[in-house]
Amino acid sequence: MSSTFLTIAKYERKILLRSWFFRIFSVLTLFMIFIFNMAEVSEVGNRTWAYRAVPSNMPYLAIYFLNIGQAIIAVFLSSEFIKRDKQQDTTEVFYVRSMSNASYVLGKAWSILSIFLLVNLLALILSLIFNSLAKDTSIEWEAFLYYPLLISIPTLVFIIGLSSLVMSIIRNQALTFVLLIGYILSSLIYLKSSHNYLFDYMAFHLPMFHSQIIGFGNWETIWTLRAMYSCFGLGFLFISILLLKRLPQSYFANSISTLFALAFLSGGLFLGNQHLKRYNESVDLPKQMIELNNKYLSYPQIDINSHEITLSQAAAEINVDSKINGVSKEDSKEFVFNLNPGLKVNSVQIDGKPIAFERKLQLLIIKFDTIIPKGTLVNLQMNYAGSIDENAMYIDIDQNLKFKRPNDFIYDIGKKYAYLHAQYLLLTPEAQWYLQSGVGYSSLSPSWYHKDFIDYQLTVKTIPGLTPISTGQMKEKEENTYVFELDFAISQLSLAIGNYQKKSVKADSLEFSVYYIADHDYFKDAFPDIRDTLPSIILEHLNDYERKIDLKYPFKEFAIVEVPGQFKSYDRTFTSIHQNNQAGLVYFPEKGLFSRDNDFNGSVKRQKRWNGNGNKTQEELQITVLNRFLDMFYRFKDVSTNNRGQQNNIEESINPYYQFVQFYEICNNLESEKWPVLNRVFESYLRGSQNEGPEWVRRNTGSTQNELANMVLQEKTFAEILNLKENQELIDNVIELKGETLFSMIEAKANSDQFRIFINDLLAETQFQNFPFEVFNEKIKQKFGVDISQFMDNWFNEIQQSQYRFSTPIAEKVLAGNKEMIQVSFKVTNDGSKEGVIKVSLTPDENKDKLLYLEAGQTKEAIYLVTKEPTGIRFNTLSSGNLPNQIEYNFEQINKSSIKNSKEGESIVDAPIYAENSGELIFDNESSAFEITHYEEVSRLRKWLKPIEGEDFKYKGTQVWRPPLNWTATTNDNFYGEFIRSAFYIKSGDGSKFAKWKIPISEPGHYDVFYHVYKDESFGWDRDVRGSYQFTIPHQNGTDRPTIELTKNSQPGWTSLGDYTFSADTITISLSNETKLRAIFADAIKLVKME
Amino acid sequence: MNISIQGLNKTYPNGNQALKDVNLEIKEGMFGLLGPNGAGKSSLIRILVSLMNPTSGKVMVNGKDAAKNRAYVRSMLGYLPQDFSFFSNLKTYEFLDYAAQLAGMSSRKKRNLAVDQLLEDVGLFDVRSRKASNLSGGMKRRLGIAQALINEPKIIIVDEPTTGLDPEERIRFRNLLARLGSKDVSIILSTHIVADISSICEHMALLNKGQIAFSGPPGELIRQAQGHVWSIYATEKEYLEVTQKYEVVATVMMKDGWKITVVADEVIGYEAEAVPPNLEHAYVYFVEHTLKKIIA
Repeated sequence: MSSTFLTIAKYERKILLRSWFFRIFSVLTLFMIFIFNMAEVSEVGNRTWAYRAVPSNMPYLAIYFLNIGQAIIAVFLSSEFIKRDKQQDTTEVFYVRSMSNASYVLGKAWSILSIFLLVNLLALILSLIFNSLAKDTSIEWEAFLYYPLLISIPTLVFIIGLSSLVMSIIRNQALTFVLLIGYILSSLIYLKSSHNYLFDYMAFHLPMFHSQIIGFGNWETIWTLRAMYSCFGLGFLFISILLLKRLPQSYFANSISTLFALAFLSGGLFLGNQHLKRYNESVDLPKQMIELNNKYLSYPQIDINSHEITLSQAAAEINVDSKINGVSKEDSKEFVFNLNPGLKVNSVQIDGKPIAFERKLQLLIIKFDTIIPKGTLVNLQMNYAGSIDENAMYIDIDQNLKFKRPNDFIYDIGKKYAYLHAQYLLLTPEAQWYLQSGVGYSSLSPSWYHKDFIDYQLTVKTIPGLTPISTGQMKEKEENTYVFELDFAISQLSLAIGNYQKKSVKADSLEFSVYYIADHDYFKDAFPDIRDTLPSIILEHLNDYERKIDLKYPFKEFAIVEVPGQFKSYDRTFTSIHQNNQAGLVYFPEKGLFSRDNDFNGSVKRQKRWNGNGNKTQEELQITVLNRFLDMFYRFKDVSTNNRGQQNNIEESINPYYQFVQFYEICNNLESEKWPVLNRVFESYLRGSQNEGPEWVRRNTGSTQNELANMVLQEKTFAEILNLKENQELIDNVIELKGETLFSMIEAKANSDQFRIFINDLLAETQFQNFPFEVFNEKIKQKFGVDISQFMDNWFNEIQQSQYRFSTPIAEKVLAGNKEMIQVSFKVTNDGSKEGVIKVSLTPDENKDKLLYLEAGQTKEAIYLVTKEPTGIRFNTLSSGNLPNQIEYNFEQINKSSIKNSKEGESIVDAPIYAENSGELIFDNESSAFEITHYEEVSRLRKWLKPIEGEDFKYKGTQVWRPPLNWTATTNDNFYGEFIRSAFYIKSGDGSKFAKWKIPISEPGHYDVFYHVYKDESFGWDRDVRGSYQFTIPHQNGTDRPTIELTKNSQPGWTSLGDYTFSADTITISLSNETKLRAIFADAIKLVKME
Repeated sequence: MNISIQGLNKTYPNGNQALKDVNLEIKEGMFGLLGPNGAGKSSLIRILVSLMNPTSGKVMVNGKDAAKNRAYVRSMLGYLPQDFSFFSNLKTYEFLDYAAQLAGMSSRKKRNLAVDQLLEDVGLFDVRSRKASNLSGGMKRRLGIAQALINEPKIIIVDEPTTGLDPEERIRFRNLLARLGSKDVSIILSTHIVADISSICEHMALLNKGQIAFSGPPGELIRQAQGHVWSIYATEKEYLEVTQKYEVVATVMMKDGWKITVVADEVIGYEAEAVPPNLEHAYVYFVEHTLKKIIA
């Protein structure tokens, strides 16, 4: 068999290598890999740090790209074989030769596999060349073996087997090709990570990132699936042997093939079944745990005061002795604790005597013989050991989100929440590696979440040679045994153990450290020219931030701890603490691979290349790069775009490295059983408004996340939104918005400069302990006479609707006393049904935001005095009926006025602000008079391929470079609108699509007609942009077709369309889409009655 | 070498019975299988080369059942199918080398010698490096013959080998086969061209509508037609009459009319003379005359 098998393979390989189809594919793929390496790896492009940070990513990249192509081309080549067999008589002269059918089919299959492996080899050589030329990296030789072995071979074996089988059955190459391409596309686009990547035959979605610290994230899944596909591929090939239209050499040979087919198929099924079983367990376990948590939610608990943990590290297990000192919260015989279900509790003792206990998954129920009265001091000792079940982590997080592919890299690097390896350990509180009182996440009520500040004492016995990292002062007690001493109570405890080394700098009394895995100190020579000033730059950055948020960093050390690249934490509603954060330290993925800002040497070079940086010194460049790195810890949100349907979507998430949590949430807790979310609400007030995404977010989506949150808040109460299943991504923004609104309101009501100082004092007093809301409220009441609890219920359970109309703000030079100052004045009316507060800031942003409180129906005039000429004023209407909720006015010119003795302040005014002046009639696109012609121009194919999921918001982004084919609603503060500043826009066209304003004329007569012109961003970057808006206005004497010509210099706002005589009737003014501009915006028409 | 075909039947799934109780003994030397199109020759050959199973009956090769000993039979086989025109992207010598390796020639040295020799024999040595798919029709046919002969097979089965060959190539081919037929080799030549058989076959079988109508030496078939082949000298007027009345084998235009060769038991009413039959006459006589008579 072997010689015929090799002969067939040899000659078939020759034939394939001469196929132009294959040659073109190979050249194109290799070229693409070359280009990609040039862009991402080489000094020329130097774009993505991830590839050089973790060098195995370089061969991975090559194989990943190649695999997409080969997975498809192999279908064609293997079906082509059988097609040729079918039509060529030459085949018969081979069929009559003495060989087994197995030799023939396997020989052909091997020929395809081997030529692809040849291309794999070339791709890897290419990658190796780039790898060896790349700076700040090394070569991981094993990766050049395991990636082709794990990705290419199973993919090819499977697809060759499947193609041969399908072709053998249906014997039509075109149909086979269509069927298999359909299957491939389904696996790529629809099935994706379904059932933990079960259908991902080409490992396109399967995370195969290989960490330099721990290797593959989920080795079991990887090998099971890859082995399963290999087995199926081989099984299919053996079935193809049986289906070959050639009489078998002998019936014995056929029996062998049958046996192999059965063995491989059974192997594949077995592995698939094992995988499915594990997947089902991973899905079921969180459900079972939540069910248990719900059941035991109100079970008696012990309030833990101190907790002594002695952890011994074994290869993939831990053994823990735990001593708990606490107080019973209720009279009870039984108390509930939680601990990861992968840990087996061996013994529980009370004051040294064994006590009964029951383990139910994650719960540990301790059973006393007699009732323990409330307030009794309890001393518990226990021992448990085992591993951490990762399925028991993040049980509140939706499975889809857990499997969601992040946008960070070309391939998914995977997610891991805890590590328990012989050489590395990382356990965060989410891993429930130490005993905690009560239950974990419950779907019944948010009351499961409670934060306790506990005196922890951690002793760690490591595997020899490893170093543990946790909060507190580490002391080596004896060989491989370390104690962490803490002089404050903390609410959560994490532990990392690895081959860690430390580098640190000191500034003032603060120590800044980096704990890195040995040999990962790529940063050590990164800032040679600022080595001496480095500590002060870091400290300055911190001090700037402290001033901004008006809070002090509470710890003596800030440490960055390197952890494996797959480490992942999720945004939570109940806390903004990511599992990356621990008192005084942050976990940082290996070599900071996720951002090229962490490639310090490369960043300095890039900075140098950038325009305008040519004259900068090395020192200045290094400072810039260092600052960019430090900025990462002060940036609240990560914003990214993804394309869904025809629309760009923005995804916002809390930056896991954001360190505001160190200033408040890690060391303080405003505790409220009734409103647990209050802590986050308070936190968002302290943090201040940081929530507005960059301007490009608005341009892309039309609304910021905050505006969308505002839209949701106009329909649902805060309490309802917190329980919503949909719009989860907006919950953070809702909390931010509601928090900012509530505390701005309290601050406005307190009407005192001392408010924030008072708050800061309270925070200092209650650091590292829980601060009950009732106490907080009482203190505010005493100091400022404001009772927060009075309006908490409304704030939580009612839709609060305030909406504001503004007069045009005026900036003028005035005399205040003897000093010339700039007075900014405006009036605002709250037209809503509830009280409200707005934030006002003058640009450029130098002063603290000013708060303006308005009762329902109230109008106020506000006057602010500043010495420096402002360029504009910005109103933030917070949670209100206004859209967008940020309105900005620019002051074109600031003139002198005759006002003397101007005084800053606010005053109540009787006359409210109206949208229309007397004699004016305004018809906005939001009014019922407005109509658009609607066309369905999304093709069926597109709908089928990319169905739009879920409900969409009414207002979309303004994309002037790619305007929509239908009239589409969008918002912008430069549009006209009483409360909602919106317009409909459309791509310029042939004049077949219209926007119409059907205006009822109650008083016949002569009118001036105006249109509210909006100049889109193309007027900003395109010098030659010009075009017209074409209107049709029927009037008493016929129909006119006035136009408004727009150029770069045209003024936006109300623009005349001429004067017309209208009789008492409804006239229809229409605007067509015919223009040379990119897009037409339909906003508002104004009629002014002429005398 | 002894091939014994015993009670072979083949019925296709569409109900068409291609072979009906075929019994034949084939020994060394050239064996001609003659029959009109659709007679079942290709079916018989496909069964002989183990491309197809018979519905019933068996083929014994040297006393071994071919269906149970395919490896044995295939290892002795050289086969040239009827249509042999599509080639993969291989050069002429590579194609032959591929066939040689599959035929069991593992020694590269021997294989190279054999390939070159065969290329020489079939006159393709000069185009050995040309792609097989770029060869002319005749050259492709010769390459087909060469691959059937590689590694000196004991059984060579060729199906309509001379179709499409020019007369010179046809003669060259017949000579090549005749040379091989003198060794300890069985060559089965299936054809509908009588001349292929008459010149080289020692034994033959005539297959008609799936049945063996005749089996024996070609001389025996000719002998049976003795006295039944006539040359009729017909005028213009008689021409049409004669062609309708008798089985015409050949027609030659003469100065004053036609010389028509027919097969018939007797000729009455025309100017006719008996001529000695050749195999072609014998074949027509047998198929169109004897068989029809038997069936009638």
